[in-house]
Order: sequence, then C-alpha cells, then structure tokens
Amino acid sequence: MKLLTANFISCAVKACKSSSLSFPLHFKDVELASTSVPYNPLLLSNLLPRLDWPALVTSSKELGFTLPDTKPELPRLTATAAATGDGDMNMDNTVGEDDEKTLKMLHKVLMETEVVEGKMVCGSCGFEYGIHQTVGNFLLPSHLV
Amino acid sequence: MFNPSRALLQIYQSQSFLRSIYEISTPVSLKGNYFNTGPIPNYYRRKNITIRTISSSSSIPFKMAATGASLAPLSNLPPPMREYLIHFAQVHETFRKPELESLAKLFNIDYEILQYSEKAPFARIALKSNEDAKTLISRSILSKAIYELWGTGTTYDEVHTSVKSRTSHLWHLYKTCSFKFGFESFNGMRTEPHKKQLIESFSYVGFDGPIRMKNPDELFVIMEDYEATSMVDLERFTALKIDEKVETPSRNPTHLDEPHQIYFTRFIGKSSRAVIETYDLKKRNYIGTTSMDAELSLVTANMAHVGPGKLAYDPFVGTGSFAVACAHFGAVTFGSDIDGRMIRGTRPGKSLRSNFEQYKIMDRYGDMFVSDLTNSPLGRFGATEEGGKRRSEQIFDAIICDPPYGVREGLKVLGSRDPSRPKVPTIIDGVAQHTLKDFVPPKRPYSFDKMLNDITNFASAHLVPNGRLCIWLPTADEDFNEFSIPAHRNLRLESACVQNFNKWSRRLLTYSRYEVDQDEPVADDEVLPDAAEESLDSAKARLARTADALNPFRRKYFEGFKTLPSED
Repeated sequence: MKLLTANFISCAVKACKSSSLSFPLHFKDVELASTSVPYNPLLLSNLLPRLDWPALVTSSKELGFTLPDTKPELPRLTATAAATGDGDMNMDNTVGEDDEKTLKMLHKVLMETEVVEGKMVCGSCGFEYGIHQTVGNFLLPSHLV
Repeated sequence: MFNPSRALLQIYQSQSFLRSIYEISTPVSLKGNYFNTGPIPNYYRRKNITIRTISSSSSIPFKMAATGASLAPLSNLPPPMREYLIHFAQVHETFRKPELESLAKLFNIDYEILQYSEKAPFARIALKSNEDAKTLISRSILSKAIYELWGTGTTYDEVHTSVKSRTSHLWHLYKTCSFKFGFESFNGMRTEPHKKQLIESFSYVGFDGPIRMKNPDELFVIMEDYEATSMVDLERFTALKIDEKVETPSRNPTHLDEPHQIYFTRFIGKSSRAVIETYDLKKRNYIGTTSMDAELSLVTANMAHVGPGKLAYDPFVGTGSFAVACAHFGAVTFGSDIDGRMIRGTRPGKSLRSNFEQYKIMDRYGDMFVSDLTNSPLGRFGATEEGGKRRSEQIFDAIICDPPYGVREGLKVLGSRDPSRPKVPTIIDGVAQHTLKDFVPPKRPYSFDKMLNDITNFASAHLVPNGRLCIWLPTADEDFNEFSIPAHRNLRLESACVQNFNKWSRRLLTYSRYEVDQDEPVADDEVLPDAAEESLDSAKARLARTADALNPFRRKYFEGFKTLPSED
C-alpha cells in the first residue's frame, strides 16, 4: 500500500462514506519498505491536482515523513506525442531547481514508499483493514455490508 | 482549302478526344488517378465522405465513381493531406479500425480513411505528414506498418503509370541512399525469380545507391492483394486477363491467380505489434485460468487511451493482464479483486507484482488491493481545490475490465446469502470472527446486469473528464437482437467491437466520460435503478434467486447455447 493509494481511499463501509472521519484511513503497526523506481515528473505533475493535500500530510506524518502544510504549486507538464510508442516518457518542459526538489520529495513519498505489513483504521467506525505483502484487504464481514 | 483528313487528325489529337478515348478504355475505378488534377475538397467535407470499400463489395467500380473517385495522385492531394497505406494484421478484423481511430484521437491526428475492407490487410488513409503517420502507427497492435503510397493499380502497367505520374518528382531524393525492395502478397504467391522480375520492372525510378538487405536507409515494398471473394471479382479478373495478353506479355495469362490490387510503397513507420511477443502469456511468470491474451489486452489499453503520466484501474484485476498492458504504454496502474489469492498468488515468487518485476515496469505499479466493487474503498471525503467540503473522487484516466462472467464460479459480491440474517458480528467463543487473520467474508450470488450498472456508475464517479472506460462483455449470439449496450448519462459510447466465437461472442465497449455531468434522460430504459434506492423487498427477492437465474449468460453457456425452434 502506497501513500498515493491511501490518498484515494476511505472506509469501505457505506455509512462511513458521508463522514469526514473516514478519510484518510490511519496507519497502524506498519512495516515500511522503500523501492527505488525511476523518477517520473510527468506523472507527479498529473497527480498533484488529484491529491488531497491535508490528507497526504496526515498520512505521511503517520509514516514519519514531514510535508509542507500547503500544496506546492508546480508548472503543468505535458508528454510529447511522438515518443509514447513504448510508454517511455519524453518531455517538452523542464522544471526549475526548486520545483525539481519538490517533485523528488513527492516521488519518494508517493511512489517509492510502501507499507508491506500493517493496518489501516477508519476514524469513524474503527474498523481495521489489514495490509499483507503490500496488498490491502478491504473486504467487509456481512454485518457491515 | 479544307482538308478533311487533317481536320480529323486535329480532332484525334485534341485533349478532349484523347480523354474520352481514355475514359472508355480505362476502368472507372482508376480514372481518378489520371484525371483528377484539381484540388480535392473532400478532405474538408468529412461528413460527406465515409469509407470507400473497394475489395469486398460487388459493385466496385461504380461505387467509386459515385463517391467522386478522388483517388488523387500524391502531388495533387490538398496541401496538408498525403496518401498512405497501412498494412494490417489479418486478425481481429473488427477491432482494427476502432483501434486506429482511437489512436488518431489520442494523438490528435487528422485523418481520412480512403479505402478499408475487413477482408484485406491493406488500407489507404490520408494524413498530414510522415510524422503523423509514424506517430499514429507507433502504438498500434493490430497493424504492422505504415507506408507512403507511391502508386496503385489492378495490373503492373497501371501501377507503373500511377507511380510515374505521382512520384517522378520525388525520385531524385532517393538517388544515392541505400535501399531495399520488399515483397508482400496477401492470399497469393510468387516464385522468387518472378518477384525479382517484378521488382526490376521498377528500375525506371533510377535509384543508384547501394542495395542493403539489413538496415537500409529506405525500404520500398510491392504489395499484392489476391483476395477474390465474389463472382463479380472473378468476372473482373477474367476481363482483366484478356487485356493482359495484349498489354503485359511479361505476365502469364494462363495463371488464374493474379492479384486484383497492387501497391507500390515506401516504408514510413513500424507498429507496436512486436510487443505481443514480449507479453506472451506462455512466457509470463504468473498467469491464471482467465488471463486475457497479450494481444487483446494491449488493444484494450489502446482503446482506453492509457499513456505516460496517466492512472489506470482494473476493478477485476485477477492476475493483471490489463494492468501490465496499461503499464507497458506508460500508465501507473491500480487493480483490485474480490479474491486476494489471485493478486498475491499461492506460491512464492508467483504474484501479480512479480509480472511487473519480470517486465521491468515496477515504476508503473500503482497498487493492488482486495475489494469488492459494490463496497469499494475508492472515493473519499475531503477538502477540494475550491476549499469547500465535498467528495472529490475523479481519480482515474482509464478504467478497464473484463468482468467475471460467472461461468467458472457464479458471480459473487460481499454479503450473506440470507438477507434476513441480523446485521451483527459473528462471535464464536467470545471472538469476533472477522477480526481473525484468516477470516473469509461470506459472499452472495449477484446479477450480471446489476454489476454492469455498478461498473458504469463507478466509472462516472471516478473517471476524470474525458477519461475512458473499456468493458469486455459476453453475449449469446441468439441474444444479439435483444442485447442492449449498457448506458450511463455521463458516459459517451465511443465504439463497440465484436469478437465472434462459435455460439457466443464477446464485445469490447469503449466509453468516454463527458466533461461535466449530464442531465438525467427523461425516459431511459437502459439505466437500472441504483442499488441503494431499491426497496428491501426487491433486494430480498433478488437474493433468493440462484446464480443461474441472475446470470442468463451463464445459464445459456451450460445449456450449450441451444436455440429454440423458430416460429416459421
């Protein structure tokens, strides 16, 4: 489970979807791993508008990362059409030094850090979702369906 | 003094007379090649021009004439448009054009299909530039390559005339480069000496550079289409062969198998078809019984417009066939499945994740998780860009799935089979069972139609504006007429491709999400009521039914798709 994914999900219990406490889910008893993957500024630039920043700050803090309180502003990057045949990136735009620093930080937090084992807890109903071998389990027992 | 014979000679030599003679002696379908020298406005009147099919129709030449016969020479196409030939693979024919159209839209490329038939691998298309041609074909799975069209005809004489009139001004560009000639025949054969002879017949282009069989600067290919499917085609062949005796002594008039269309082309760009081999299921580390083959997974990814920097999600990810296909084209991919064993695998080193490692695309591995679409954790309650509190759920650029048909095991979602069961935790010996590590939540049978409804609702909520949804759906052929394509007010149907099997077929449906929410249609029978709005009584009635009753496709599958005797 990546912090990226944690930013997209809330408690699976329908009654919790209307509660602000159900998002983000809170990490508990986590075992972290860091996987080195190629840095992808285009992806990060696309991701940024879709992130809920306060929730990301909260989740990051639970895993020991400190992020700025406000969402960083970054120029929007675009892919060039011609170089996408094999899915590799090729960018028209270049970013400044400060932006690059922000992007590298986001890359580390969102793409390279994973919860291998642990739990995610709903702040509204208290239900605990297990994470095993990086795979989160969001199945509910029948009394919560 | 009037000299009748001289006057007659003048008439004979006048342009209009020669032209009228030529019109009589030339097949109607080819006139455009010779006389259509003015600007062609058709490219700007796209709605009037559709696809001109010449090889599968029975009334070929006349159809061409009716559409304006604008088979213009390269030099006479309106300034931005040039003519190209696409060499398709002769497989999954119904998916080829939708894939091409999808890629043109993805790369924002202007095009017009001039000639296309599902029975032949050669299609003619007008594009603005070689760069556009290269880009368009670069991701295609169902085509092999794209070529600049230098000339075409039903005989080699016609091809030569066409090449000379269209491209003589280009020949000097290739005078000194290294080159190679290739030969492609569809549904026909040539002996090697005959091929050589035909290649040499193009020597008038005057290329003096070295011939290189490996990595030549330029590749020229002669393509022959031998497709003969209708009686009219056969008659036309016969008619042509009579002419050949006189006009082309180099060809054997007694040979019954002659191509009915010949193209002379220059290679421009290659497709991604070779990638199928890379992702071949036989060489994949971890697969399951329902893994979608590499070819159609990659085609689906093309239909879904996945690409670098985008996010894709498969809610029925299984062993991850679509996930790796989307990741191949650059998307960061997420997936979930109700069965966690599929994702994690049951043996060490064999998991969905291991496939991403095998293909070295871990940077595009988003996350995989265990969940049920009817009770998904996706979606959130939080602060939006505007600062107000509302649900902000538009996350994915593409959602692609092959929902379980419920053939192997009945379709299931979370919940108890018994709807009257009280909603309390199950406690045995003072321990709430769902807190145990190996707890398996109970599941109940579910209706396929309900699930389709859940998928379209989910896509409407979670796709970004213009994001795409691709769904694979099975249908019994007898149901074809009553088959209704799932609809949702916020989703526009982009294409529906059919793959036929013996007694059933499956469809790949592609939708795009409207930029903004659309008004609910006044009367729309297609849209099923939302699950939450259903009364408890009807929910109970639903639960009481069996997997077969809920899934007509499954029932018919096991009945062997028997057809009831028809009334007449």
